[in-house]
Amino acid sequence: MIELSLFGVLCLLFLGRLLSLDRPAALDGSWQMTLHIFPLLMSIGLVWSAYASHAGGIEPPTLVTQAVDATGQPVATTVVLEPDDERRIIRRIPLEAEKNGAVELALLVLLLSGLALLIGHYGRGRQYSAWCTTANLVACLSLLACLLQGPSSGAGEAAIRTFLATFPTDTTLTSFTVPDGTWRFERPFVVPTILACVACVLSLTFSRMPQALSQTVPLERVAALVCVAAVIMQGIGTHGFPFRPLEVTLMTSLGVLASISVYAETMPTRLLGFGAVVASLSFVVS
Amino acid sequence: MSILSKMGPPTGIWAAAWSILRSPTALAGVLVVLGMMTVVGADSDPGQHPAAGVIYRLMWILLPLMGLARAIEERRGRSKWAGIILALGLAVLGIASWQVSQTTGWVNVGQSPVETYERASVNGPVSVHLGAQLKAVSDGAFATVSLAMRDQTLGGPVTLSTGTQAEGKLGRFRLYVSHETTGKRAEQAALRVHQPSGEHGAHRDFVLKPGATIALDKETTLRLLQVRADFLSTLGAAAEVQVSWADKVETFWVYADAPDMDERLGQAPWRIQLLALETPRFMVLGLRLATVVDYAVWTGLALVLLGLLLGVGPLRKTNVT
Repeated sequence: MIELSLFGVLCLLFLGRLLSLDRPAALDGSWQMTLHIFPLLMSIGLVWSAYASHAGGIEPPTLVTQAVDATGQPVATTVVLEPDDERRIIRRIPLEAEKNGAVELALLVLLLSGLALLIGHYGRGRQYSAWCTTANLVACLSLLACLLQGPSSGAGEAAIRTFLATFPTDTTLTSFTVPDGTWRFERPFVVPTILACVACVLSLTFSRMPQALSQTVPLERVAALVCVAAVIMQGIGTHGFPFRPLEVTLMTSLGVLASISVYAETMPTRLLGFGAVVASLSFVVS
Repeated sequence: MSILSKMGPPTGIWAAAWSILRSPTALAGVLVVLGMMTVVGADSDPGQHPAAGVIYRLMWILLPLMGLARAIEERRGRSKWAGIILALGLAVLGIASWQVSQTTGWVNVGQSPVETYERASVNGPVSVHLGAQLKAVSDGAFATVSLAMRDQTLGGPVTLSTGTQAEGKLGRFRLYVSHETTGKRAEQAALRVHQPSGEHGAHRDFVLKPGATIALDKETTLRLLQVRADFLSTLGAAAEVQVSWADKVETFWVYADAPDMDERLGQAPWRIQLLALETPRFMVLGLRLATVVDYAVWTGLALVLLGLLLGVGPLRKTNVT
């Protein structure tokens, strides 16, 4: 999925190039603007994920990671509770770990990305844009550190005891089961966060270049070439082309981008932009 | 080109078709429709081509034709050939995509071997005979798949990764592990029967299939009537049991995930506890016929790559404004 994510970044760059064709004055800032879209989308996705899995209550929503076994199945322990005046209660509890602070940092990234977009959109205050991007980079790195902290794997009775110790002890825990084998905790949003950091670094690099990247390199063709590379990598990785949704999406996007890259100068830019948006959306769906 | 020059400009309906093929707006429309069709089909079943409809194929036919029409009118020789090669590459990719959609399908393999796979069609999946029996055994990370007819092995065994969805060749098929799933109907239940005597904690465990009856003692029998994987979509695994002793019969439900509900006011001296239900596990394998499609795709990719590299001007722009 890494090559697809990278390609998604290129699609957004490409889209920025198309949208800026009608406004040459905004060309310099368009690349940096489109780069800020990626951390913006990443942070929205993370916050959305946390709120979607929030079961309500007083506690604020947090990002929760699920433990899975070697086959990718969720791992759970069955506990037996025996309150003093009630009959025993048997509950199946999935092994989960909370990423405290991830939602708050994602909201910060969301705010800073939005600010950077606004500053870039109005094309003024280059130094403010650089400061904002630097702050966003620090926030993205902090978010990455937050996502990487905590247990990565576990096994045996001791790990279950440690997990159960995080629960309130107002009832008597009689017994619990220990899942077979080892389990690992998923690390959601790590790769998108790394790519958000890369986007911030690229934005800072572009802002310090004497000439806008869009004026020196035909990125439409670069995007099409990267798409060819993505299709080749997918073919090598899966030992063939079974034309599942992923392969079809890649192939369609290759056709779209290859056509646009050759005939970009003579095509209506708004329609091209729409085509690129659809191509990018297909990656999201995949 | 010389032939086209001698023929002169197209007239009538050919002129209209030619102008449509050269129209940037028409090309943009084709690209948009292609993208939308792909998005619509992106959640298709494993083994099924996501965008195998007529409109998708029509767009894939139009795309290289439009590229060819524009390339023919290109004045610069290098750009002309780049456009022609690119159009040819896109045509090969479109034909390959078309071909593979005719042969893809999926198969659900459990503990028993299967002889048919499901092939996607306009009217829904159609069962197609494999020509042999397909067996699959999973150990979590890998699945070992083989194809046999009676005692004769026709393909494999081949080892497939359950995580990467990489393809492997098995006989005349190419297949991959899409995902693992459980059956909708539970096959047997694990029950714990607590002794009626005063001994605390004394119990016996049984694994029963629906309809099976066992004797608990000389005059008491336990019969498993039916099982539900998720009772009323709320209470989880449940089993209906019938306890018969002396001249009395008592029928009731026991729940695995809601044990509080199994406290009964009945007369049965035995307490029944549902430990678990066992549902069969299936592997869903994506499958297609091993044809020459892959060679066509590699050829198409090489042509597209060549067309892009030969394309309009150098990779680095020099005319900065």
